[in-house]
Amino acid sequence: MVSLIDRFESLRSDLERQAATADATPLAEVQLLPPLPRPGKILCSTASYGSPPATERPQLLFTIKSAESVIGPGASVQLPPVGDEWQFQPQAELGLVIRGPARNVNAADWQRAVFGFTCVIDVMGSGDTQFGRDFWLAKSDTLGPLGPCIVTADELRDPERSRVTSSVNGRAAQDYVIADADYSPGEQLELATTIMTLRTGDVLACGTSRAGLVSIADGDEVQVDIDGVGRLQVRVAMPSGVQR
Amino acid sequence: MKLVLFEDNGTARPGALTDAGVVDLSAVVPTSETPQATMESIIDGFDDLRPRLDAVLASGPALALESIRLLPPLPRPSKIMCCIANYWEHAQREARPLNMFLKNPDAVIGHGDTVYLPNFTVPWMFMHEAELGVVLRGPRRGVQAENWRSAVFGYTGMMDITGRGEGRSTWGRGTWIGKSFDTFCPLGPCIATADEIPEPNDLWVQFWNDGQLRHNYNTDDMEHRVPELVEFATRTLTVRSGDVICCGTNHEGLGPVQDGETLELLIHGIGKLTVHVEDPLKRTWERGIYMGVDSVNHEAVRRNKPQEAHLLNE
Repeated sequence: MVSLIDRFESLRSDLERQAATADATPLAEVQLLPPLPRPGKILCSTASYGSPPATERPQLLFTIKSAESVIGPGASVQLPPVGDEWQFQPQAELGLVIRGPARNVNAADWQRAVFGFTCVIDVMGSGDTQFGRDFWLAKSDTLGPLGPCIVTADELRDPERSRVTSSVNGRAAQDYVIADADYSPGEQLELATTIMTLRTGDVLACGTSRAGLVSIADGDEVQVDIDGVGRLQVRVAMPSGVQR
Repeated sequence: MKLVLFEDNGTARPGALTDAGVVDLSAVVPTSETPQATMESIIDGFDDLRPRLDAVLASGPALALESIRLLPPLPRPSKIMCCIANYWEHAQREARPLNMFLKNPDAVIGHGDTVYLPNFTVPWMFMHEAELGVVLRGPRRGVQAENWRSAVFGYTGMMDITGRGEGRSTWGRGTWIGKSFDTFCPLGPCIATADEIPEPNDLWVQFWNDGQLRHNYNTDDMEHRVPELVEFATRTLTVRSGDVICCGTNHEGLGPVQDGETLELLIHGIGKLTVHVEDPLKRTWERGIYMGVDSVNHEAVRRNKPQEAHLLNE
């Protein structure tokens, strides 16, 4: 996928011809994989949505999530083997798929560094924030579902208008609009690329709304929808032998 | 064996560091798509490769270190897992809970390279931390402490360059992102294979800034020791060949890094890693070990917190 992103402009006409003429396999007959199975870097921003106006914005920061966290549509989030003082909450996030190298990007022309968009479920632990213990657990295997596809940037000209919703077992959970961010995706990309060079296929997950977060448990079904991007559904499983 | 990657006519090659210089191992180790993958293939195939590597080492000519450019032995690990704190620092107190963060794997630089301080002024200072790096063999998950050696391939040196928020607190509290600026992960000079290091918790770590000794500690002071670190990391993460666990630092020797300085990390039994520092903004700080109110340097504690001086275990 990384090579496809880097060569996309030259490949595009061939890809469009193929998409228009070749036979399609019904979705039910294939297993979608994560569109980026092992991103070089996954940055998760601390941006929030729908904060009351006139409140001072907290400093924007990022954590690095592990490539081991990535799973695709229909796969299972395996909650880590930790004590029941820990709760895990799926955070629905817009993911920016980077075309790099991107360094010192300006917020004003942030879309130049963005190849496309995807859905990220940043499964976050809560229970103990000492030394960032919560962020460490969020890097665990399978806690970063990603997909179902990468929507190329030309198909989503104005992502700020996109609404992000999530549900657990069909019950509505999160519901916010990208335009309500305390830091816009462009501001997030500017700071991220001030700190470090982002490379093709890296992902910047743009934070989430604190409203509507719910904890998940064994057997739950989590669904995230982002307007213009798609729907990502995963299951939740408890590792065998762990009681919660 | 001390494994390295080096550049020869623009090509990255695997080699072994000897007293005479670097012996080219590329005749027996096919180069992979990336230098990182080449080193991972050595890690994965090491037991089978070893007789051929030993034969080349016995017969091959050594290239003088001055005639080649060393690369980081792991230019782009999939994960760099770093311990937070993790040294007793001579204090009498309860053990602190073990925790880790991920450092930017694209931030790795090698021997002779340059740390560039960012054109970003929110962190008030940039500091060095000298660390032992444990090079892993994977994939492994759920390794018990008593089986730690099954997941360890060797050892290297690592400088955890860090942007500070207030005092010596890492900028970006909780996220540890102040440690992930580009070029903030000097790594090397080599990977000393595990058979060369019988006990990773008995290694002498020294660090100089422009010849001034800063860090000077033994890894026997580690709060959570290497076997426990392997168990902790693999409890929730699958680790891969070429991943690195960095064991944290003894903060008693912390100090600023600034434009024009040369940093040297020597882990006895592994080797010396040297890098330079450039700062486009030419910021300056007082040279020497950090002596702020939150310093754990003994002289600083006696000066800043005389009521706690009796807790220092000399």
